[in-house]
Amino acid sequence: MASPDAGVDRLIQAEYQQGFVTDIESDTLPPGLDEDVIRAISLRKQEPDWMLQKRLEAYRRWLLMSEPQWASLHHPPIDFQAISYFSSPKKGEGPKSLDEVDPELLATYEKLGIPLDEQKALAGVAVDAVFDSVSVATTFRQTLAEAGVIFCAMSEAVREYPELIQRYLGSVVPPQDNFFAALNGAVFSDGTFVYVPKGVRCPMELSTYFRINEANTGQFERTLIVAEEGSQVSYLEGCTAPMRDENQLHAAVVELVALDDATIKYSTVQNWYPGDSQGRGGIYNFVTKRGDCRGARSRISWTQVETGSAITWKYPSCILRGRDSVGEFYSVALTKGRQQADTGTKMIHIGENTRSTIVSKGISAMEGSNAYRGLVRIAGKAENARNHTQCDSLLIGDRCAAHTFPYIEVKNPTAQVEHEATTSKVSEDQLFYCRQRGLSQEDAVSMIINGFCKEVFKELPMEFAVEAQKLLAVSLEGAVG
Amino acid sequence: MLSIEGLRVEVEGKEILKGLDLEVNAGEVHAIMGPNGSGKSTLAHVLAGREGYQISGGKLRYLGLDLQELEIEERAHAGIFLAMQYPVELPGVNNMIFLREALNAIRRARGEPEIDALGFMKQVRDKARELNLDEKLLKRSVNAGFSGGEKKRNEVLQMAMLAPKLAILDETDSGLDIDALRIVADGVNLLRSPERALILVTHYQRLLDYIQPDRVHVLAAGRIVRSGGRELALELEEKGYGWLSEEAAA
Amino acid sequence: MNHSLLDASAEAERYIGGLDSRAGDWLAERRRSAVLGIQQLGLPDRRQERWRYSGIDGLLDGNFSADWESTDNPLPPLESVMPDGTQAGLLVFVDGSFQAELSFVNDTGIQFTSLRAAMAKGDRKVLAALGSLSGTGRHAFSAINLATMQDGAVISVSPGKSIDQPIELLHIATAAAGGRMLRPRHLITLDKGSQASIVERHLCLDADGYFNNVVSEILLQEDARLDHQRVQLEGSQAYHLSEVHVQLGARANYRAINAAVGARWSRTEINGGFLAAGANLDLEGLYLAGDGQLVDFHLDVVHGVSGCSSRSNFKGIVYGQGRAVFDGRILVERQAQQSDAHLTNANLMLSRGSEVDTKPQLEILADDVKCSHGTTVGQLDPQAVFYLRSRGLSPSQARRLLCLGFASEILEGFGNVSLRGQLADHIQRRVESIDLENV
Repeated sequence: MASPDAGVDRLIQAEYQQGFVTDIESDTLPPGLDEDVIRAISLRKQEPDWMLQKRLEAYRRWLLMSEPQWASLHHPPIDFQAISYFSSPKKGEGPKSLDEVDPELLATYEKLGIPLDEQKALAGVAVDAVFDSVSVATTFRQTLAEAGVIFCAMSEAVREYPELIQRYLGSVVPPQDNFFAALNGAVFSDGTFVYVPKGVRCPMELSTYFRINEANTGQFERTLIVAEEGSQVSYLEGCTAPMRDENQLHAAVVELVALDDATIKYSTVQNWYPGDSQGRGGIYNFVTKRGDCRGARSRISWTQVETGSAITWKYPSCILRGRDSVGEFYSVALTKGRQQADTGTKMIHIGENTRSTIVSKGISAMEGSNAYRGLVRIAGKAENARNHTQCDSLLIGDRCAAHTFPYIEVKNPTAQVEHEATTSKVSEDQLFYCRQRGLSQEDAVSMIINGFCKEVFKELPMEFAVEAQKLLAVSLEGAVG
Repeated sequence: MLSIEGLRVEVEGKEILKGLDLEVNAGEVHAIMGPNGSGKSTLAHVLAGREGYQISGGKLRYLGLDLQELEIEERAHAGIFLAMQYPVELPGVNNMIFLREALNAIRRARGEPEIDALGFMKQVRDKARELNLDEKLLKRSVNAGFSGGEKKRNEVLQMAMLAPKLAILDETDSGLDIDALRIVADGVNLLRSPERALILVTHYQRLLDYIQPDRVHVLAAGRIVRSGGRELALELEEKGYGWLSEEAAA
Repeated sequence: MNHSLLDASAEAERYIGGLDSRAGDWLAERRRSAVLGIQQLGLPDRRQERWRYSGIDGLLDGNFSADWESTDNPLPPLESVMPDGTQAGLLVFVDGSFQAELSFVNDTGIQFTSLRAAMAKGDRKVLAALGSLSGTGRHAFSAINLATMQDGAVISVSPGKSIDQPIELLHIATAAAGGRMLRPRHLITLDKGSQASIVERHLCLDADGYFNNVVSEILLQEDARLDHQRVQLEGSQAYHLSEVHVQLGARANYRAINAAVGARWSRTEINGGFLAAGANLDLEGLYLAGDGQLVDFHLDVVHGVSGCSSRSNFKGIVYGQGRAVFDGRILVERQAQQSDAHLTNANLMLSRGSEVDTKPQLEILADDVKCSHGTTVGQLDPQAVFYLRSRGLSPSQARRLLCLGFASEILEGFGNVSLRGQLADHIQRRVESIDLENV
């Protein structure tokens, strides 16, 4: 009889499926960071002076800060002077239509299954694709424009909608917030701006695919979504990156603002290059994501499926300021090989009757290390605040690690806060049972894992949920014995 | 159909089965009885290919195949089904989806087309009704939070859907009240056919009032010590296992 | 960093200088390394993860002195705080010093010596064991205890002996403790297959503003079983820091139940570890924080070997300007397969102005384990309050009964009936008297 590991070793060898490099000439700044580099970035992006000043202010704050050390992560020191802070595909003027887009680039998107083409459009997906740092194509702005929704590259928004950007950019995540947010504030390359006017329900799911391409190019995306009173928007973010030998730094900032009765749903599938089996290469992903439920009855929901990156440092948070506002965080984080993730959320209850829900599913396989770190804070004035947190860890193999670090701070005696955490493994009994019914070992594992993650997957938009399930299955191939 | 010769099995260095012989033909129902610890469940698990059992001697042949050569799922594809004494819970895994995936895996392995969703649903609902299994259970996670009786009925439902050639029921009667036992037995009886063999592993003869076996075997101390017709079960009911164990030891 | 508490090292040096030759260099060496530890570890501050929620400003402001010599004042009458019932041993510590004339040991299975006597005698076995479980400590306070320890109980229970009656460790702070840091240090060993129960009380008799800095090291050898009932009922202006280090041999069983209801500021750190498979650690706790109190519990349960289990269950009630801090860590190391570790923490907030900070932590490096934790913060069920009021009880009576109900799960674990009654009365008296309108 074969050992339970049979057929598994060969799958462990499965290499990163999305690993290829697109050969396009890039317009890249030499490595290093000083005020001149920031001026150069600003100049190339034809930014107004106020934007440059914002960047410089962030840079000056960054100089005074140090890298956070508290996370359960271990990596060699990052040399911030060895990183190139700007890269854009060389094409002079931006393309007016898909015909103008480099065919090789389009082919890359095809391979990745990115819905840039007409068919996908008809399926109702609008795409602001970010190739390295500059938006190269934007579709369906017409439909969105008719609804009054602004959906454009951040660099364009800085030029076209300065009053909105000045008002909201940095209002949720100020540059002094943390080391990586300050860095992003100084050098952010591009990103997405979404503005949904009062009472508008965004007519389609908005989706941006990120892609890291240029070697040694830090990615510093900046996303801002503003949902005015009574509006609704669902935003999908998915990403995949070509294989690289050197660690690549990614420090994005996402800010969400929901006013009275507005709803923002932000979904992420993250599958960046995790490094090879020895832990070489792989993305360092230091992200600051925060939503501000500024208005009464507003709602912000974060859903993430994190399977990539060598290092994930990410705590999508909600500030529940408006009364009756709701914050949600649903997460699946998978680490295998030498991957490390320290991820979770912060729910800051400030307003009355605010509610939050946290569901975190961590899967650690091989030598992966997975930490949930979450803060639930109930401020003194947050009458009748409620939080429920469920953190489950699944361990696969005896060399992985799963940690749970919740912080619960309650200053109001009407609050009800519940936190539960469990640890389990894929049991031999379960595998035997499934195989006895005819399923292969791999199918059995994938079925059990998907069962474990179900509560999170059901929060994803349908097509994304299917993708996420597939991604998890692919990622786990070979990890289970 | 199944031919076991001189089977010896060890678990963690301890010999549990010590030269077991058994012949089962298509269309037959065999009952394997015996006291606790006699090796009944070991036999059931070895047939299904469970890891952790070392076969140290003997032959296991099934439909002309050497069972030891087959992986767990390959045995399932070949028509072996084990209804477990303690069916495993699969949190979050939908009962219907699980069953459909299993059925299609078996069909694919046999070169048959996959069953379409509608046909499958109808079939499952019909069978569930026959087994008096609440349809709500179909939508829940596999066995998660099921009562003991519900789990056993769910096992029989799976058996009905997967239509095995050789079904092994490991203590399927344990933990069932009399009504549940009757329902389960009715379900099993519906599956009796000339192409299919059943092995009932049980401690009590009670189940055999409802599923009439062709042959009854008594397993004691790792060997079959007595075989006979249904009357053997009744004799056991009367006398207990003590006298057989003594015989085996002698 | 230049706080007077750190002058404890000067006290230590003074003591080391006064060591007579019989105590040997060993003790001097230990004290010296602890003095180094004081400097290296430094005073805790809130930037340290383990001190995030418990500031020590008040403690530092107290300027407690670590003077060595105990005062020779005559003892006040102590009858009112002496325990009832029968004991296998009663060991009384007044202001940190052992009182032989008030103490006794009645069971031949128990060996007892005071730490002061053991040090004076140069008892090598005792000296070698000091700090063997605690190390120098995690912060300056525990190092200060080791550097300047003056007295304590050294208890061992003979192999196979089962001590039926409890051994009572009674700590009384008197007026003479005012302004001082008391530093008792206990060393408890249960030999193979032995069983005992220890009741440890920290009480106060007219004392104000002292700092009780207690360290206990407890070793249970194979198959030993210890039931440890601890009650902290220090004075309302007192500071209390307890550090308990427990190591369990194969199949040993340690059950501790901790009640912290007194003191202005109190912190209990329990460090549990396993030496071999089959051992079980059971920690329970109950705390009450109101009236400007801070009560802090830190658990650090390390599963370093396979096949052991731990269970921790702590419950707390906060009101007024009270603050409760709970930090419960479970670490399961790579080799510790088949570990079973569970932790729960439930908090009841009765009134505005109070605060609960709770932080359970799981760090799991082995896969074949059963681990969980859960924590809740909530209030009394309004339905239940309504129900009791509809039966004629006043709101404060209803609150008292419901709080008692909440606490009863832990209270019932106190085998010592008088202790249980005393605690239940204390809790009822305090929660009934809360003035919800004016807190």
